[in-house]
Amino acid sequence: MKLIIALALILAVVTAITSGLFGTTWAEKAVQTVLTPIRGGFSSITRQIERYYNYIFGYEALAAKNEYLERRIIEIEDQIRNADSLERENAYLRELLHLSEQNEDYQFCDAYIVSWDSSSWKSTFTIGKGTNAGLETGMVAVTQFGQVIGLITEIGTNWAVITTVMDTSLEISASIASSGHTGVVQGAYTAGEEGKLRMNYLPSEAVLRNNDQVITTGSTVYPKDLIIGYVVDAGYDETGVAKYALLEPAADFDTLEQIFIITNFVSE
Amino acid sequence: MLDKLYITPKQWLHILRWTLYTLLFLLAMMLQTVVFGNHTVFGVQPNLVPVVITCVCLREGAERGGLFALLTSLLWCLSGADEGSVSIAVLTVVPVLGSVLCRAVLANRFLPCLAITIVTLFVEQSVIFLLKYFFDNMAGIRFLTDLIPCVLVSALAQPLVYLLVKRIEKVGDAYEST
Repeated sequence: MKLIIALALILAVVTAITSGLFGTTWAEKAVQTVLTPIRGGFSSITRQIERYYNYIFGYEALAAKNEYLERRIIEIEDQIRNADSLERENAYLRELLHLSEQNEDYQFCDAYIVSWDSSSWKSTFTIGKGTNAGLETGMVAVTQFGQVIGLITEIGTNWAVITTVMDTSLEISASIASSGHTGVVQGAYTAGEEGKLRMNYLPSEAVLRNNDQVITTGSTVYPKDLIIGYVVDAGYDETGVAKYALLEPAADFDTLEQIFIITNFVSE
Repeated sequence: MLDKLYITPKQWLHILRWTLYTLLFLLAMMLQTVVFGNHTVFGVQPNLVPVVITCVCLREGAERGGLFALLTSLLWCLSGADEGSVSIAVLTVVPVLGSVLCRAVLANRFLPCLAITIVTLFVEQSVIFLLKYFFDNMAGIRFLTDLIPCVLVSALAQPLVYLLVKRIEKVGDAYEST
């Protein structure tokens, strides 16, 4: 018994030191490589069960959602009509300024989520693709609508761990789309702000409105103009000289199944 | 040489019992990371792995159960668990000490097992919480809003796990009694 306790303590210290020094160890990679196909199978079974459950019990919710979406389509069609004329004007201006069309340089790799992190203290999930699909750490994960999900932080042959924007360890340089004011977005750990993002270091003169769109400013890691979230609240930070904004993440993490990794883009 | 490889029926039952424990652990791990990873129960993510490890350790005793706890918590750590190193220490030491306590002072029954399971869950979550609190600026109020509900919700799974472990423990009993 004493031997087991001693072994447990030694292993705990050794794994803490090795993961601190070397990141993901070969043992972790081996275990993840073996577990990923099992998790993938379990995940697809779960998805099927969920689909049947939603089909049987979600009819009323679907009907309400359908009605809401029909209304949204009418609104969006209206917006598209306005956007068409603006786009023509924009295209003309682009031509004048010799600007290249944005986002044509993106290359994507799609992947399914096979497991989520097991604790309430961080926000990560594992996908069923890794270096075998050309993925690398530091690549950005987005939804099909270009909403930022997170970043690849660990990788193996057939798996990769994505740390989401909800995690406090991730910091993204971002700007308010309407005003251009810049700040840094990260997950909010403060009580009452769970499930929200916090945009810090905004200038005190920044004017923030509800539903203002927040987008990436562009860097070697994050392409420009990806949607991060929408402003839901704002105020002065603890120093009193800068403002902060609380954001509702653009991506719906509750229904996330398939994601897209940007494997290549030309940073500006 | 070959006759040394012969496995007696009793040994087969032993292997079957530990295989079933391992499958139960894997099932808990899959449920925790695949199903409950993205879904919450009463607003929290249940923590099933410590429940399985503690129940097996308590039923099988400090030595065999302790070895099971050590190996499974190591696997849990290597599978990418949050603060996995902490899990190795906590998920081995607390159930082993709990097992000793149960056999020496308390009866090895359901209620002491439930109490030890709650203690294991509480200690594991508290250590992870403290690390996040001191090194990751986590709000202290989440001890009450997240940690306590997580322990209580996870403990709800204990009766079912305890029942399954008790059934698995009996594998081979009928053979031995004949």
